[in-house]
Amino acid sequence: MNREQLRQALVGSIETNDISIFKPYLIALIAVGVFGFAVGILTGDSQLVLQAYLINFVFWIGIAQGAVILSVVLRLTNAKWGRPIMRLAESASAFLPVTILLFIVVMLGGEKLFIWINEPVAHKAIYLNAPFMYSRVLVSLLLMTGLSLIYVRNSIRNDLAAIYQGKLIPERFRKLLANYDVNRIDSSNEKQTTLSVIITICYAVCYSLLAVDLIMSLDPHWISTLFGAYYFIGCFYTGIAFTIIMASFFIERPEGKIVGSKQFHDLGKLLFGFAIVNGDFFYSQFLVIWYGNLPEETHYIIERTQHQPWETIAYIVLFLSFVAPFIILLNKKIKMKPIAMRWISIAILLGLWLERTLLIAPSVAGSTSFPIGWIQITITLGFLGIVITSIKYFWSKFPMVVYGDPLLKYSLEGEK
Amino acid sequence: MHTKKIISASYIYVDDFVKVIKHFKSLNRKFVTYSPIPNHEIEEALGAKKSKIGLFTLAGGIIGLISGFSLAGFTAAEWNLILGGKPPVTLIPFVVIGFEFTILFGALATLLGLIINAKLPSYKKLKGYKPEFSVDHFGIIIEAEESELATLKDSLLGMGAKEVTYE
Amino acid sequence: MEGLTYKQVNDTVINTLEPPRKFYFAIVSFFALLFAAGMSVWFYMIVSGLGVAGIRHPVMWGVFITNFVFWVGIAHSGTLISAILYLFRAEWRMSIYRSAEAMTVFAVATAGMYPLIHLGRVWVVHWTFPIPNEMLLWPNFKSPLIMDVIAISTYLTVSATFFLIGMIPDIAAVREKATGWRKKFYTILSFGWHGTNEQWRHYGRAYLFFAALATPLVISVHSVVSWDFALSIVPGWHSTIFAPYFVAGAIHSGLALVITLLIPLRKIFKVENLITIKNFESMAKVILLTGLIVGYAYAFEYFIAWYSGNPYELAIFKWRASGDYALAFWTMVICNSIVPLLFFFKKIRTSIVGLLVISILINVGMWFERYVIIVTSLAHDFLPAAWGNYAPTWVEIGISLGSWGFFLMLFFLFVKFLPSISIAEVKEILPTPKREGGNNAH
Repeated sequence: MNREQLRQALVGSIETNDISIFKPYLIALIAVGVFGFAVGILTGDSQLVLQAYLINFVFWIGIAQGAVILSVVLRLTNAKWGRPIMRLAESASAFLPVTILLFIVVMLGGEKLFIWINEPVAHKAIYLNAPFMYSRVLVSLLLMTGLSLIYVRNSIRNDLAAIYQGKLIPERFRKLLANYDVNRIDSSNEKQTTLSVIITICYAVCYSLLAVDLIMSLDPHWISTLFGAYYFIGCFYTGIAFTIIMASFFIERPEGKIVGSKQFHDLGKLLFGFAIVNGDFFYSQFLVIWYGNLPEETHYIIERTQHQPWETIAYIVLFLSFVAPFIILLNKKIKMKPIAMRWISIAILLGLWLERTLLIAPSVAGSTSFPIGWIQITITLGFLGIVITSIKYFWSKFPMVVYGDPLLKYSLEGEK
Repeated sequence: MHTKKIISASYIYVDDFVKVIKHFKSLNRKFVTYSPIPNHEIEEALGAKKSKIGLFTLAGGIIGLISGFSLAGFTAAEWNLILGGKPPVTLIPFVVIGFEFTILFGALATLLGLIINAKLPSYKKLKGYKPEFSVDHFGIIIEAEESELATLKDSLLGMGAKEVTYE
Repeated sequence: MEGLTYKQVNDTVINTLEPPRKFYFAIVSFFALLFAAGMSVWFYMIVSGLGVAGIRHPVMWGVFITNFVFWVGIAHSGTLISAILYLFRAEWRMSIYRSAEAMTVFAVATAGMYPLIHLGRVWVVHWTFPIPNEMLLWPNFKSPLIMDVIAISTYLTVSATFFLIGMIPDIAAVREKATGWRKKFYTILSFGWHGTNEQWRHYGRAYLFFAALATPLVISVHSVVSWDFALSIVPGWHSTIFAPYFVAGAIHSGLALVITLLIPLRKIFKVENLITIKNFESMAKVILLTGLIVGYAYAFEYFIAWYSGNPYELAIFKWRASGDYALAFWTMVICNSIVPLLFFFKKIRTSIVGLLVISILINVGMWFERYVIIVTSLAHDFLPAAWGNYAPTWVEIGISLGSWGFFLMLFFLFVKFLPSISIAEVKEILPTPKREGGNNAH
């Protein structure tokens, strides 16, 4: 596809898309989630419900933020191949503002989740107390959401300006493009690069602290110095998998033709690489704790890998998030097939969802039987509904290819 | 009496060279090509299959993985002593040994694969090879009957050859 | 590198191999003498016993192990540049990877000497290998020290193979120009390479697989080195972040040494048109990243030491920053994670002086990082009654200088005997010569 065809496809999509995003199936998904949550709370097992909620919370914020970070990383590394999928990755940012609202539920139910709220740990009370922890998390979420939205907004402005250069700008973009200076695209690209560096640094710091606050502190006596990095690398990994899933749907749109098998191949290599990094970070923690054999560290691992039902889940997680992707993605051809990659990514996301369950559930409600029932499933579906709705909103409103990016030319016909 | 001659032509431009390769391929002639760098267009024109060296790597890696784990397990089982509070035979730390052996055997097998496939080392003097082929010339070497030398030379020069020699 | 031709690249690189002047012999002999002096000190230590080194209870791992970790770390940048960046298709690696790779091989060899030196009775070194023996004894593969033996030997074997294989086409190019005994030398070393397309076809594939194997290997090697410490329960060592943190630190110091060595090299050999400021800028950017990772690890270790509420852990971290080794500690923090932040400024990362000064400071800082980690944790263990400080003696300093002599001697021999810039790969990133399409480079 050449530049003009792409432009027309983009304009066609923006100007004809149906902005009514609340499709019946999405309303149904969200309703199922709300229903499951309400019935769960009312029938009494509120701890189990909040636990399922927290699992989904840390899972989905990681996906949305991880996908935005993918775009940031592609920009910082000047990856030519990645230009066609940058906006796709950025579109997950539409979910980020919602996460701040969703966190209110965690705050309301905090007492049931965080054991140290009612039984403070003496020497940690300065750090682990409800007001300080909630404000830390809120600041992290607000900071990351704010930075990500500014980044995406700048990016979209450049593209709209390039698409409508010398043409009439549609009514609803006028406000977005107000005081935009077309002659300064270069300096705005430079600013975006600086912003990308800031986002990457803030991501590492904020998501490490989130990992400590929302996951590690559930068992306030357990520590692992790599845990913060393990969480944010895992989030990036899920962000890549989620972008692949989005790309496998995106190729059906007229402008989606710009995403070819090259993009899937490279995304697949990235996914393969992070399957290994994620596995390596797991093993680095596991081996050190196994050798050290200190009770305050091992109790956490023993409960999760040697006691049922968690033992079974631990093996499923190992298989879905490392063994299976490692073996399957060694193959070159499969990485180029969108539908195959979609299902591999879904399996990886399922593995990482179970991994979050494994990290959180034994510390909160615990369980003696298989820990996934209607409560977990309905709440997960509810979250899925909210995520799809926010992303659909983004897809229908904004140009879905970084048309104004100077490196996009490497993916267009007749340019180089 | 038929005496086969070796004709050797050198080219500067890749696009000329690709045309030459395609020409002789369509004539079904046997020839050998030389180039100072690997080049995709030349490879495509030659239409050679992908090298099978990966199979050597894979086999080496698998053998390495098995030998690493077996070595660690076997030596630990020889003296069934609990050291440092750890069971004698246990998979968790043996992953490191298994991993290192996988890489070591994989790399050595790749080396073996390269030696076998690319027929290295060979110090025979190659007929028709010119030093420039390792610097900046793309070379093609064709076996030819004495009678057709002149026509071949003309056609090679016609396709942009810088130099044509025979021996 | 715009506007260069294949032949120019070829000649520029091969010219670096011209018979050297007297000054070169002076330098090489100086380093050889330094190495010999270091070896004599080692001999003295073997004869008198480890006691003449500063190593005694409780600090049984001193400068020798610091140097070991330091040199293994130096090795890592070479594999990063030659293998990892190859997989990422980064073009800026092409002109620098050969010398970085040579550095890897020599640095691993240097690092490998230290466990032998530290062993004391070096003649029993074969006990660390699984060799069948009449005592029916085997090494304990659960010991991180034995894992290290396996990892380092694998690394030396694979990186040396990768280095030699990568050089074959270039050696063939050098062979065509050489005369006399040199011709023989390069002919043997080129393995009879002639660049037939059949050879290239297999070679390209093999190179890819070497790169794919070297990438996880390099990460595992420094992880295993870090586990020499982290798998114990010594406060300040027992930390899950050690593996990734050591890997990042290794690349940090390695890239810094590549910059330190290449800046004079490109000047002496007049290859400024091949190794450009752009190469250095890209390395500076990676150093910025590794510097941030190292800084993150420092900070997060302190945070978790405090968060854990473990008094031993907290005490060692307080002592590092304020005790007897505070100077070493602050050198490490400032040189490794604060000074590299200057690379955020384009002016500094594109200035030769800035690059040289910062890269040297990083090397100083990274050496002190290992020193601080190793010495402080051993000096202040769980039992206050058993505390004791450590300082290196002249024996350790002498052997350390000797190892620098060994490394630099090898490196200087390398740049005169082997092509220190990859001829074939630099040619590859030049525009392909074509009659049609305007690339009439000839």
